[in-house]
Amino acid sequence: MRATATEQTFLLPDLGEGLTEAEVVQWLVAAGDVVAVDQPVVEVETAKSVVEVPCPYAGRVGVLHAAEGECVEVGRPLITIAAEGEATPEPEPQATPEPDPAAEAYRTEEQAGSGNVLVGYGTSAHPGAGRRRRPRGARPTAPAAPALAVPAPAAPLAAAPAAPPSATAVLAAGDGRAAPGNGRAASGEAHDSRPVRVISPIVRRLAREAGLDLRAVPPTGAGGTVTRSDVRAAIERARATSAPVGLPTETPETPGEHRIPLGGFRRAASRVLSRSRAEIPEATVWVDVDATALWDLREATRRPDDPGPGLLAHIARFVVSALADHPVLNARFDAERDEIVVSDTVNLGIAVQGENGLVAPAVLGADALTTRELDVALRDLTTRARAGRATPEELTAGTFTLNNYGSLGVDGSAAIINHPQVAILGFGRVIDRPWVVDGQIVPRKITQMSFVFDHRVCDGATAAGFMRQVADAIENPLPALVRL
Amino acid sequence: MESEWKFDQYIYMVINEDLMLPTREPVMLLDPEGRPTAGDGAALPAPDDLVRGLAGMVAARRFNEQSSVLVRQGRLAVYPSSYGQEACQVAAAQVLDDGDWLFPTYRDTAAAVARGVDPVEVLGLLKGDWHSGYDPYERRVAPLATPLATQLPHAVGVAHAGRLRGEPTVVLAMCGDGATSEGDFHEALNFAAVFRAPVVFFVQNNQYAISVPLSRQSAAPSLAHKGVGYGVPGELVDGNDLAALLAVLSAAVGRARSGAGPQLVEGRTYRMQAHTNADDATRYRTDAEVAAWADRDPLRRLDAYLRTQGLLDDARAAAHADAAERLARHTRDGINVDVVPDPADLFAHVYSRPTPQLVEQLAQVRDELSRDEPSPDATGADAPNRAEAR
Repeated sequence: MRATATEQTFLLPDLGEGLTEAEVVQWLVAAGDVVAVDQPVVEVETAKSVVEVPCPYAGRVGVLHAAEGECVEVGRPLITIAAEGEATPEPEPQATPEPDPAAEAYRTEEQAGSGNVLVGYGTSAHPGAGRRRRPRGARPTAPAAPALAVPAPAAPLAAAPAAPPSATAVLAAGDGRAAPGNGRAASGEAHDSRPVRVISPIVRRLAREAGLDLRAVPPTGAGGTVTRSDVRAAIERARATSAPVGLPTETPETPGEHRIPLGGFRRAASRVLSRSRAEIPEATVWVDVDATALWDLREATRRPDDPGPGLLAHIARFVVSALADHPVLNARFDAERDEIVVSDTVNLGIAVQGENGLVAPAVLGADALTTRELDVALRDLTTRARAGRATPEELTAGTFTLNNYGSLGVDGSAAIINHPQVAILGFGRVIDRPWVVDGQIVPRKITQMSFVFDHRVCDGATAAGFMRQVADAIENPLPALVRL
Repeated sequence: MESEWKFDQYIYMVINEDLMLPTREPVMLLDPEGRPTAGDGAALPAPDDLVRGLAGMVAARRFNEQSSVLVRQGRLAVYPSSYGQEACQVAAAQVLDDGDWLFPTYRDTAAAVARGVDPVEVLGLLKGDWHSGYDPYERRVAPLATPLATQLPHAVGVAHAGRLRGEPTVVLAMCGDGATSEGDFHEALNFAAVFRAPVVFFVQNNQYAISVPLSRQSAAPSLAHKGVGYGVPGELVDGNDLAALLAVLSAAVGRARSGAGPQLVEGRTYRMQAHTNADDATRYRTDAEVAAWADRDPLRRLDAYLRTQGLLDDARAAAHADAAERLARHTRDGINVDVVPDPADLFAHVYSRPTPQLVEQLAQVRDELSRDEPSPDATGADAPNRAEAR
């Protein structure tokens, strides 16, 4: 915690075993307010949950260091409190050491995963990002992070003038295991696939983050071990000898552009969307549907005191019915075992534009509901979801998604399947179009339906059969209703 | 010795196995509204014990709240709260004599505080000091055990050793519902029963092992039933009724001290908050379930009883709250002090004579740290060597 004599700044702490940042959801205090010790001052959202953060200082609020919706990194200033008159004696302000690159790196390393802090717990800085360990045999020194901008990529950073020319030879000799006359090592090209000896894993990380090849860093540690100071020195040399260089942790700004960091919600969504597009071989079919009959039916059931079920509820009911006849579409795909996992019930997801972004909460057990019950459930669910109040179960339990993009005023969409589901059915806006009925061009209520499906679970014929069943029910609802 | 063993076997034979089984319903002396369950309340512990217990629970709750705040301020790495389980925490400490031992788990910080360990030191493990704790001998409280049930065989060993030495020591070993599925639980109970070790096994059944509900943990009629298979009497208690806990645990401690062997006590309670700050409990249980347990709060129950008996007034309650507030401030102030660790301490306290490997590693660490100093050309100063300056 950083402070002057009269001001104390509270730095955002790690709020849950290895988290690296949090998004400010809402400030509970404003500049000028007086706060007590441990009073909650801000609500933040981490990768795990929404948390109220209590302030450790009493006094008057000076600065709020982030706007609502902004992300704050752990360890960065959150709020500054000025001492207020005869404030209760607080512990001596702790001086925060100047950010030390090594210490920062250590902290970053620590946050990459906290390990098993308590039984059953362990965290990863990359939830859902797949395997945490590098496969055996992969080179640990491969630069993964954005490289330090160096004009001549062919020259390893440490081969800059200040470095001894035979850096890797020194390393190989010091290692004591290199075969004599190992031409590659001696040539300084650094293609030896054996890992370089380092004093600590932190050294590898420091090098990786700087885009530095460890095999080209002259080691000074005992037995040819590369130390942190070796890597830092190599980074310094690279900086001194190369034209404009920014630390990799700084934002790579380009004139004429500005960067918008993704909020926690959008980042989580982007992972699901990317995963869907990366994993699912999808195919799309679409058809124009004459919804006049269903429209009329809906109008006919409208009463002054009771509007009756909406179009969406009717369509949802037809979808649930068609899923019963095409169960593979109400499923998820288990790629590990090459199996289609069919769900016994239909949890009908509905795409809703919420306050934070698009969500697809599900009406649980939709196959057990009548059209009227579906109508009530859908209205309730969409209202809550828009306010960000759908339950975690509703947000994750969907087995099939209905996408009413027509409400956004468009006709068609090649939507992205809500992974791990296998299909998404979309409807465009319903508008009057000229349509041929019995040889006459007449105005009708037309909507376009699109159906995106995972081609691994079925072929086009099944998908088309499913969509046609829904389309037929919309165009000719009475026989469909009789069958329900 | 021969005759003693025969006598022990005789005692075992006359204990009817039915007597080892717990009651069908948890023992409850005060109902959730604070009314005595048996009319006259004659079975209740002495008034002074109850008032002392309430003061302890008020302090324990404040300690839980303060610790949860400290974790959200980054001052503790993690805090497994016993919020809602304060009756179990306080009773476990209160029934022991100074010469007895308490073996707590990671969630039993409030019990360690109730036994008199400095709260700042109790939180050393959860804050992350290099030594992770306090002096166990000072208040006879073993280190907070994070691995499940490992503390139980240790507790049995201490109890058995005390008995071999002819000391009157009783050990109260705490664990949770999840720990009863561990092999160590079995071994500890079996050994304790066979050797008649003076141990009270106190299971706080708070219904969840992180996210695993009791129904997926055990198919036994109750966790207290597990005792009979080892020849250990089991007792089931309302874990939110401090009066019942004091009565049952005191009896068990007395029984163990008299040489009658171990006992298993299950306190049926509820973990009101998430497992830790790294857990989101709404993913596996409903708000309605939690709300139902809020009506069974241990503090409210005893507070109501003591007020109807004229044993508690507003002035006394305020004194309890003040004491709790002082405890919270002491905790906060102590935890807010940054301790700068000396890496050399890592090598100092495990071996009286360090091994050659440790000597080598210590040299390596010193060398590495000495390289952190700014190079002369950067500062022009001969900065002191940090590692050697110590």
